[in-house]
Amino acid sequence: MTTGVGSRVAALLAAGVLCVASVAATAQETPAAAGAGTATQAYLPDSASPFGPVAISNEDAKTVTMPALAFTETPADADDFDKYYYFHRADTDFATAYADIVECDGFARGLRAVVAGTPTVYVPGSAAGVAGGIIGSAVIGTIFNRISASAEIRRVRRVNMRRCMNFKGYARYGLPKGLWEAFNFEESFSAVGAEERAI
Amino acid sequence: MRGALSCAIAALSFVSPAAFAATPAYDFQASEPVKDKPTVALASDRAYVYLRSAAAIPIYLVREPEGADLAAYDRFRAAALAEAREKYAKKLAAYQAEVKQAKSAPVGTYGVVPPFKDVEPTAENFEATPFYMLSKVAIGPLNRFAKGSSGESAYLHALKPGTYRLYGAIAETGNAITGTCLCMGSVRFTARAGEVVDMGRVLMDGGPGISAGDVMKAALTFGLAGKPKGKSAIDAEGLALEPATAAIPVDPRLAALKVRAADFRPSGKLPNYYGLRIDRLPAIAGVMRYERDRIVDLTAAK
Repeated sequence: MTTGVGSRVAALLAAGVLCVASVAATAQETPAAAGAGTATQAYLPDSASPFGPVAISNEDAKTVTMPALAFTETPADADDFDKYYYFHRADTDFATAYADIVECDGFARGLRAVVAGTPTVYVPGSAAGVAGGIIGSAVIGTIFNRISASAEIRRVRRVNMRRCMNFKGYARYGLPKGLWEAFNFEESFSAVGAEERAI
Repeated sequence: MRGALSCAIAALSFVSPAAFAATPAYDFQASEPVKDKPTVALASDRAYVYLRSAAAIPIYLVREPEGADLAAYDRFRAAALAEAREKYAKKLAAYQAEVKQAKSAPVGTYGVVPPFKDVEPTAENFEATPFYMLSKVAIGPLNRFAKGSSGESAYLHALKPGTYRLYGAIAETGNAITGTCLCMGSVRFTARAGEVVDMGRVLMDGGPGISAGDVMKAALTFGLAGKPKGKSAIDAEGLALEPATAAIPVDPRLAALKVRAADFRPSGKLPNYYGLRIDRLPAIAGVMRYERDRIVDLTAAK
């Protein structure tokens, strides 16, 4: 576990953003919704993050150890690029990128699961007797529902991260699961705490 | 610091408006649908929101705090804090008993683990239910004011006069809440007493020429090589507004009443209070546009 600036930087990486001048040649699409432009009108004051400012400086970037990104893409990797990826936006300094990923993480945590139409599944032979069968099917249904709901929370977290970073003009780059796991976490029913988030 | 924050978040999760029950009654929401009846009469001290959509739709508005709200919210927060401190006192007693038990047990006794001490909730670290969760107004999908022959639904909802923000398309089903919040940008408008404010049409398909399927596909495939790119610019902007104009007919039952088109102004980001999917309202000509995720107010030029 890291501490101080190191932990904040680790959290940045864990959340999946990298500010690098050049990146591995992987799947890329630059969001057309971006377009920074020069502001000719006043920005709405509450355009800023609703979670408050993030205390970090570009000097902190010196403590970052960049994870491995180079790989040879396989079809299996590409199938999972909606799950495993990192973000990049050109001409963006470290402190800005860090604040952006922290804001998006704020929108993508503490999610609730609602799996519409999730059936209660009865598995024959799961319990002996009629009463046991009813109880057994209810228990198994609950377990299955919880598994489905857990997957749904992970999926919505990815959706929220993608949307938020897309609005901010970041492009998304696919990674194989192995590389991604080295600096990311997934979150479901059990919230990833601040300390663990910072690992 | 992190412990205090965790405590505050935990408190947020468990404090409900019920904690406010012990204090003088104050209804932050005070809203109800107007029933589909042949005639409509407006109360002089109530405001009314009117909107249409192609199908039955669940909408959340949140009212911005003003006037008596602030003092009422202070009372609410104080009551919630008192309740949290009462619970903390019980937990502290249980903690102290566990410590005593742990200390008296022989070293290495199976099942005896050092207890975890909660952080004491104080006026400084306690975070009560946010005001916008108290002041939300749920409109639809039931209780439609009208259903047109083309299937278009209309809703007329009575509420407190004030300034409201479109928070999202969110449905409550039993204990569950599902939908999408417009956490990253939306609009606000004023609802005046004795008047109907016309929000126009709520579009669920991302706007003219964009199908719901396109929106979903764009959300799923954004940033992926070899996948459709044409619509990905919109990502997931599935909920849109078509402001009221003379070209959008108003229900005949409202013809004799004071109906005013909503004076939409941009409204910035809000937290994802309900842990839902996030989105933002697409740009509206003359109201707002986006530069990346920053919102440009276009109403000042009016």
